[in-house]
Amino acid sequence: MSRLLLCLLIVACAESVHAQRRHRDILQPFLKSYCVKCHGAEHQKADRRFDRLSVLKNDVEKAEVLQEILDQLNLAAMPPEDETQPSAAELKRVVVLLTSSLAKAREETRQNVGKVVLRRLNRVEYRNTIRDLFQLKMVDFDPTTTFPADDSTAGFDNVGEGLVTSDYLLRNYLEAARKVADKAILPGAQPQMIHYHTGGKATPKSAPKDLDSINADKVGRREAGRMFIKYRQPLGLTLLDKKRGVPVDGEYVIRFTAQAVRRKSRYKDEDLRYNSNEPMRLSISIDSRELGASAHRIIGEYEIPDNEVIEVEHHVWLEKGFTFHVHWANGPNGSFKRILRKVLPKYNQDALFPIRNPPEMYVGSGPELHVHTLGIEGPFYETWPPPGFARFFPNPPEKPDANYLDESLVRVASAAFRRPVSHKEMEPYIALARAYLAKHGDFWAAAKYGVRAILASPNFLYLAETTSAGSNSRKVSDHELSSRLSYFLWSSMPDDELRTVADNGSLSEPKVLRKQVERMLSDPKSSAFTENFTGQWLGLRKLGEMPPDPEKNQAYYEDKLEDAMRQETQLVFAYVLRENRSIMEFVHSNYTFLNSALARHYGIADIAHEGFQKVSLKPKSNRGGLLGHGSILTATSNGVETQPVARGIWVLENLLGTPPNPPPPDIDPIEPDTRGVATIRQLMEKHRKNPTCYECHRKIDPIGLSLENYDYVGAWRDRYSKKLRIDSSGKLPDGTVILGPSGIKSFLLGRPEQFTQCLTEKLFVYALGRRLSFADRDDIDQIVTVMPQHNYGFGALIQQIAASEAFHIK
Amino acid sequence: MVVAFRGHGRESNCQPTDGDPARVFTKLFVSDNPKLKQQTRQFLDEDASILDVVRKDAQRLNKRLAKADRDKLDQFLTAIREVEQKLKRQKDWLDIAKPKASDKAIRGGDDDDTIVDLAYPYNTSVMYDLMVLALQTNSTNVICFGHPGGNRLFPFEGITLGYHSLTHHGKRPDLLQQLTIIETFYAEQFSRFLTKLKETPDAMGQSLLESTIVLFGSGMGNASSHSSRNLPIMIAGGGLRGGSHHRFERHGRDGRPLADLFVTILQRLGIEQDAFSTSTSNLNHLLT
Repeated sequence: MSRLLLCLLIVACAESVHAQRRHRDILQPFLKSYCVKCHGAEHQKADRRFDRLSVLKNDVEKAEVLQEILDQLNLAAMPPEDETQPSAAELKRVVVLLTSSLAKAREETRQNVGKVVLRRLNRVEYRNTIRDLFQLKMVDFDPTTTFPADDSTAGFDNVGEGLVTSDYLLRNYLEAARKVADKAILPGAQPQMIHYHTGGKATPKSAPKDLDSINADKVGRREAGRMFIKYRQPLGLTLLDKKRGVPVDGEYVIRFTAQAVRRKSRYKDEDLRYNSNEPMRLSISIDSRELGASAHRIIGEYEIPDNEVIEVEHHVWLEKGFTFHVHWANGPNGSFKRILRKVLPKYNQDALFPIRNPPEMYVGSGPELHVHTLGIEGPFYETWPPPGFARFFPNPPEKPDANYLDESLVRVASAAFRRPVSHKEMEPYIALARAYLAKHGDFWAAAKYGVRAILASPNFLYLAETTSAGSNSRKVSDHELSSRLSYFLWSSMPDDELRTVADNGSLSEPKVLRKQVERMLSDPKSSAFTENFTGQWLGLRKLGEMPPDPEKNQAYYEDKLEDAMRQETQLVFAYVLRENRSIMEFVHSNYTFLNSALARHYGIADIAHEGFQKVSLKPKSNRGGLLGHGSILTATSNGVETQPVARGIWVLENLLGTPPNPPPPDIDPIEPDTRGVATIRQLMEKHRKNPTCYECHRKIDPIGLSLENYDYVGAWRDRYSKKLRIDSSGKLPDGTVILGPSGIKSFLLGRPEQFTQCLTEKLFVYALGRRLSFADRDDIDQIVTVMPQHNYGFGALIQQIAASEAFHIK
Repeated sequence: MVVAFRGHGRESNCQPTDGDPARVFTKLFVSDNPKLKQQTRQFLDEDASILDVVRKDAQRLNKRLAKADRDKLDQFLTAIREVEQKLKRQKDWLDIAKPKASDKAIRGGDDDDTIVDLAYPYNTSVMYDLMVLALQTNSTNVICFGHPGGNRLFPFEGITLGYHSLTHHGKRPDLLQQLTIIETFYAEQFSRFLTKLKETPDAMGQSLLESTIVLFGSGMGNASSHSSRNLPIMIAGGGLRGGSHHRFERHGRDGRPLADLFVTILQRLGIEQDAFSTSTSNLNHLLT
């Protein structure tokens, strides 16, 4: 035995001696001639030092440095253009050497690196998992609002390494589990319906008792069975007691009949702060007294025709305690008091004597929105008991016993842990619930208690990938694979179909896997991938952190441009994904998705209708491609002015995959002096004179400045002021001269491999939930190589990642 | 107990805060009804039993994990231990009566018709008053309070731009003038707070300011250039030597990181620490 080991060691040593010699003969002289001047004993630019590589003890560390050198050489980014350049032959020799020795190092270290660190569900994943586990409507019910934000590692908040579990979070888990159990476990008969109705022919006397709680008097008036709204009122009309709201969770139907009256009146629009050219609109909002302002939400808006009564029926899921209101969405703005005091006297001399002429005299002369009838009915359910309850507690007997309790809890855990569980494994949980049942005799309270414990289990809260004793296999099990897939594409747990192919062990077959990925991408739940991946890769989550000045940017707020911009980017992303279009369309495309407000913001005329739609772009539109998206241009600004440096870094990091190093700690930031006509370009040039700054800023600044034609909310501009034209030209470090956004776009379009690699790396981090190591390079390189054959299709790229080796080993 | 305004960043990850004066008052001074207390007690007991089960499960899972994963799960086990301690402490607190305090601070006085405005920025003085009440009644020993900046338009005479826009003044005099209006408001409110602390006696009969260390400042020395150097910091109370302005150079013998001040504060509070974060020493020679 010991002899065998010895032999192996000798072979390994001989191999490494050979490699060492080649490094000594080829690599070291190369580094000495071209690199060590800046990255050696004297200077360590960008914190890199290459003269002592041979003494690096840690092989992985050394390999990562060598990988970086290789990448820089391949990109022709180093040595800098103004330094001595190696000959083509020299370069080739070093590149070949590094490539082969790195491949070998990867092979050797594969066993030790590239492991996924135990991943905890992040906030979004937790919420989605609860939604799918119990089939709950999680629109207005969100038990995660008090969870702390998740830290992001390597750019993403689903990386296990960075996801900590504090006592504060654990307490939140316990509380959330209590709320969820109450929502999900619904024994007994279907709840009774409520029917509230007012107006129309039904006189108040014949209406149900609850009509007394009508809240209409306060805000409009009830008159012969009809109400009207005179101006934009924060409260609006309702039928429900605002303290109690609806009695149980369920679907409700809100019905009303309404009519626009005197849309144009003798009162001038500017006096009423109102636009009489628009059709009147009535909106329905919901809110909850218990949850406060955060629960308020507009659920629907309807155009109300002039002098014609229309009937509207709106279906909505309401959580217990929620109330609804109807409002005049575009009625006269401000308070009724203002209209009475400031507007009325202008038109009616008599109004100066309010005692003789009650305020109501406005009524009947100004524009009004009449609501003739208003009603609410519900709750309705597609099935009862609800499917999310019945799947775990099927056909509950009249008096369920402890055995039924055991079986039900095993069913819950098997879904919640995303793998089969045994009775034996569940013993502690079962004992807990049984003890409760024995003590209190309340079966359903005991069931809830057991479910609460399951939802606090590490098997639920973490995506545990276990090793079985005695096995060296690093291949993930089919159940582990199904979780990896579903958290990658849905940010949630596997559904029944995915679970079935995991249960029967066929998921890891390439054909089955392909089909599942395809199915999952076309499922609406894949919107979680769009939202979470773009939110982090493109930094869309930062949008709104530094909002622009409300005074100077009224359209931005009135037209809800922030939401519209975010939506544009998400729609483009989802479209490219769904249609398997080329990922290069993220750099440039001749279409985008706009609504009328965003089209206006971009200066694009004649689009078909108000809502979001695919719009073809003219060559000179300056849009198309992520760099023309308002979302990214706004998120990289600070709400006051553009930040070319931030934009330049954004491109280097997210499109080119070559993030610059952070500035050295002892450099003072530039102090902006906007007195006079100093442009941001002049300020930056001053900064770049400093050689320490120049090193990185020669890469950053030209890119950022090329986007200066987009202002801090992404609108197009040709000049800063009357006197000052914008100069968006620049020269990249490799000598390429670029002019404006189209210049930087062509530069990127000329480097499809680099962009593909950058996006692939980001996708890998997100898909695996871990940092990448140099051991992943084979997988990534292989994907980058085959993408041209797939016409850079985004769907194909996702398939490649799901099929990659890294995705299947733990 | 933390009384502070909520940050607006989605990624902010600090202790949850409460910026609603009425809610803060209720939390500090209005006792829960017995039914709610009973229910809370039951939840605390139930959660403790759940944690027992979950711990066993975690220990079992631990054996089947790789080394790096075990370290991660250790965090979870630690969290369980900490929550267990906190559940116990919270149960003890349930039986301790909350101090009584007049709700004048949030409702206004009976004698005059002072209207208390609970909307920011006007509620700043109300929050400061609540802090005095909380310290006076010994409801808490530590309070954090932050002013939300954002790009809101302050409803003051002469303000035409959002707060954030003003901080990027680029040395323009008109913007600096507006910024001064807002910062004067902050300073006045703070001064009013210190005066109130000085005039209010603590349980021992001495001035509250004597027994309270108050630290006030900004995370930026020059917001216009986004510089976090040379921070404006004010420290008051706690029996520290006051009344002078100290300048610290960036480098050399007189250079001092802010953490040096924190060491002095810790020591003053009786915590025997001679280092904190990036501290190099302390500022005892200037302040004590």
